[in-house]
Amino acid sequence: MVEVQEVGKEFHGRWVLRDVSFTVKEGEILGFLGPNGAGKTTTMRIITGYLPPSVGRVKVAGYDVTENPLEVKKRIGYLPESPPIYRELTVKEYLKFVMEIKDVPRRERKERLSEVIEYCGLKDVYGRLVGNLSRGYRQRVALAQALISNPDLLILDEPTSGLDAVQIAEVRSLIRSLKGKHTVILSTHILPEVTATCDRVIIISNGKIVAEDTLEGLEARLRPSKKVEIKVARYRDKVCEEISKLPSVISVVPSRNDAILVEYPQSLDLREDIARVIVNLGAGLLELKPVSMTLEEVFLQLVTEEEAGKA
Amino acid sequence: MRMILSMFRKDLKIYLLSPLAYTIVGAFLLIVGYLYINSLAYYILQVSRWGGYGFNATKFLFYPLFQNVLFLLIFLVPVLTMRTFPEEEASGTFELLLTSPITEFQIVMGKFLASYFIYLITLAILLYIPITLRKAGELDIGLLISGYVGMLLAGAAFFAAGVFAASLTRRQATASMVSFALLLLLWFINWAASNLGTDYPVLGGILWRLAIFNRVRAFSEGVIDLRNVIFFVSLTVIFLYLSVMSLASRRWK
Repeated sequence: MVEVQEVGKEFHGRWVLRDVSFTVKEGEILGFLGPNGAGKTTTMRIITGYLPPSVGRVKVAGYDVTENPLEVKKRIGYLPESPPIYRELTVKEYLKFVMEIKDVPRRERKERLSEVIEYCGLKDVYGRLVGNLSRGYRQRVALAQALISNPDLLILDEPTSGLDAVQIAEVRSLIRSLKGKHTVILSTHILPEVTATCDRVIIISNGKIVAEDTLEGLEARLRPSKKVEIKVARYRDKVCEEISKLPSVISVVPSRNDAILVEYPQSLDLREDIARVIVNLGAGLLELKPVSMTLEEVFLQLVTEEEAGKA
Repeated sequence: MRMILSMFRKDLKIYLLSPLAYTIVGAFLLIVGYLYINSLAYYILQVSRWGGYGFNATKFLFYPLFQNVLFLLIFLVPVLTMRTFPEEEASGTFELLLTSPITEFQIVMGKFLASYFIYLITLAILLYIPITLRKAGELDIGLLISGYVGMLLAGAAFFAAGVFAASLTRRQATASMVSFALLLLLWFINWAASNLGTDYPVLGGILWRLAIFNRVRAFSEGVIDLRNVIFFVSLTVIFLYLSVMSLASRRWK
C-alpha cells in the first residue's frame, strides 16, 4: 500500500530525515513512535504529498507522490497534528465541504455523512459551529474529516493529543475497528498507545529509523530482562549482597530513595525468592514492585544499541 | 470546475458569516454615498445657476463616482483578500486542502471568485444611485454601462492583486499591507506618468500605458476600448497565475 524508499528531507541545510525506508501492507496498522521533533510529522506530511521529499520516493497504492499527487490524494485521509477546522462553519457544512474537495461521488455523500457522524459520535453537535466545540469534539470532527472519503490509507498524526482519558479510549477503539478495512499509519509519542492499537511499530529518533518490528518482537528485544524495585527497612547492604547470590539474578543496584533495583531474565519470576531472602534476614520488606520501562529508556536503549553496533 | 465552485461556496459562506465583510463594505458604501450626495448637491447648484442645457448629467455625476469607487478599492481590497490564504494557514486547513485532490489553481480561483463576488454585491447595491436618478430624469444608459464595465474589469485586476499579496505571506496583517502597497503602486504609476511625462517622454509613455486610472477614465467617459479590456483581463490573469505559482512554491521552501 505504501512504499517509502530512502526518503530524506532537508530544511535550511539541516537534514531532519535521513534515509527513511519502510513499507506498509494493505490493512495494516503501523505505529510511528518517537519523541517530539523526531521527524514523525515530516514523514507523514511527505507521504500525504503536503511536503515534497528532498531525496527518495514515496509510492501510495502504486502511485508516486511527486509525479502523481492527485491520484495519491484521492486515496488518503489525513488527520494533521492540529485539527484543520473552519470555525465559522457548522459540523455538517464542514464535512460537506470536505466531501466535495475529496471528490466523494455525489450519490454516496449522504450515506458517508451519516455513517461518519455515527462512527465519530458527532450526532449531538451536528448543527453546531465547529468553533464553539470543545477540544475533544474538534478532534473528533477532524477524525471524521479524515474518514469521510472512505480512504484506502489513513494517516493520523497524534490522533489522541489533547483528549481526556475517556476520549482517548474511544479514539483508540475506533482506530482498532478500522483494522482490515483501511491501512493506517499513526504517530504518537506515547508508548501504550502503540501497544493498544498497532500491529507493527517503527521507532524514529533524530530523523532516522532506529527500530522496526512487530509489537512482540520489539518487546522481546527491548526487555530481555525484568526489573523489580525493593524497599527494606534495615540492612540494605546485607540485602543486596544476599540477593546477588541468588541464581540467575543479573544485577543488583542500590538506587535512589534507598531502594534496590534487581534485574533478572524475562522468562523467570524471582519475586518469591527475593522476598524470602529479605524475610529470612529480618530486613523488614516494605515494598516490592515491578518496574516497567519508560519511553525514554526504550529510546535510550535503542539509540545506544545502534551506536554500539556502529562502533 | 466543481472544485472551484466548492471552494467558492465555502469562502463566500465564511465571508457572509463574518462581521469583517459587512463592516468594510458598509463603510465603503457610506463613503461612496456621501461623496455622491456631495456631487449631486454641486450638480443641482450648477443647474440652478447656469441651466441644464447641453450638460451630460450622467457624466457629471458618475464620472467622479466611478473614480471614487476605484480609489476606495485601495482600502476595500486588502481587507477583503487578506484572510484568503493566511486564514487557512492559521486554522490548519491548508494541510487539509493540500492533501485533498484539489489543485492550487482551483483553490486560487475559488478564493478569487468569492472575494470578487462580494465586490459584485457591493456594485449591485450601488445601482440604487442610477435607479433613483432614473426617477428624476433621463440617464445616458450607454455611459453608465461602459462605466460599470470599467469598474468590473478594474475590480477584477485589483482583487487578483490582493489575492496574490495574500498568497505571499502567512499573516493577515502582512497580507493586507502588501496588497495595500501593491495597489498604491498602481495609483502611483498614474501620478508618475503625468509628472515624469513632460521631462522624459519615453518613460512617461510607458508609464502612461501601464497606468490603471487612465484606462478606467476611458470607461467612465463611455469608451469601451478593446485594448483597455485586454489590459485588465491580462492583469487579472497575471496576478492569479502568480498566486498559483506562489502557492506551489510555498511547499518547496
